[in-house]
Amino acid sequence: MSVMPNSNSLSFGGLAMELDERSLAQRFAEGDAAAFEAVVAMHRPRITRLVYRLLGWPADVDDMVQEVFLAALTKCRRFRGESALGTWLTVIALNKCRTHRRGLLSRWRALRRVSRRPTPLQSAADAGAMRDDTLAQVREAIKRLAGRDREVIVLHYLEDRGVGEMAELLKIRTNAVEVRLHRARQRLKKLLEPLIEE
Amino acid sequence: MNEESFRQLLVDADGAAAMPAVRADLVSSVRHRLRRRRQSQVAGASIVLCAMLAVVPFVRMGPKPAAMAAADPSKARDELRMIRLQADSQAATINRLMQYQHSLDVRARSARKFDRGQPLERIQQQRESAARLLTQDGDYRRVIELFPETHWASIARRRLQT
Repeated sequence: MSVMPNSNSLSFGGLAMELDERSLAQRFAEGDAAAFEAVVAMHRPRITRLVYRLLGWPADVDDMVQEVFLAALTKCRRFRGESALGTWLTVIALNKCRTHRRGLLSRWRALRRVSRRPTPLQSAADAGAMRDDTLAQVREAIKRLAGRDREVIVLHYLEDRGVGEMAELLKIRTNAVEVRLHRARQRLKKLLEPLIEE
Repeated sequence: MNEESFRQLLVDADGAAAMPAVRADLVSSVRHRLRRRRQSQVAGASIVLCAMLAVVPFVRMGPKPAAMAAADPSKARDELRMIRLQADSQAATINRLMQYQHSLDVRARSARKFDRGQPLERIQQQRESAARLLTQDGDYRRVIELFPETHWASIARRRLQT
């Protein structure tokens, strides 16, 4: 008998949280300034971590995090509540990181054309600092993956997302997610081969 | 390397990375960024608008006859007069062409008749033709003198009397 009230209170607590989040999402969609502040406070750590991982652990992610929340603020009236607010923000972060990577890639290509010499994606200082560290090498290997491969690796292994959830975020089918994840894992393992052999 | 140790390796690598510094006033900096972006959008739109306004007078300088005619009745009258003159001139040209075609037809018909006619008739036709040419040249006295019994001689007499 003593277990029941606890269980009920937990479920009520969960419901209350869900209602809170729903009303917060609704107020956010209506353009409520206070709701935006609450959304930033609630989702900032998770979004920062995701952006940090997706961009390959750069020294500064402040600009990209601002861009994600700026996009959320400008598009808030388009949020219809079809998915959770956290999912919606994650999709924005994924898209922003993709755009950023594309920009980096085009700049790198332009530089390469000018210098006629292949240039590593990371700065020499970053590479120097990471070279001796095994874990840094793992991060470097993840960073070397193609954008779509890195996305599935980060979401699955570091963000702990299931295949269904990843399919929702990436807007692809679950079997496509599985295929992409399998290939990304193989490529990453190949990149990590020297490290694993040690 | 099995799946679990692979996962652990990635998690450890991620955990070893120092967390990035994010500014505390994220909300205000996002709002500031939004304001700046809107200002630059407004500035961009203003520049486009100014450029369009600068171009519009040049675009409107082109002649618009219908509009001008509607605006000024005297110009409309002048324009109508010009159109009428052009139409008359074209009609006169067409008439001349039609007359020329008719004369060609008449000559062709008379030539055919001449070919078909008797020798005396042919001579008479030649006399008439010569008399016509002299009459057309205004040499009435010679027509009367040389071909007095022809139709063109009677015309020449009438013209001399008038």
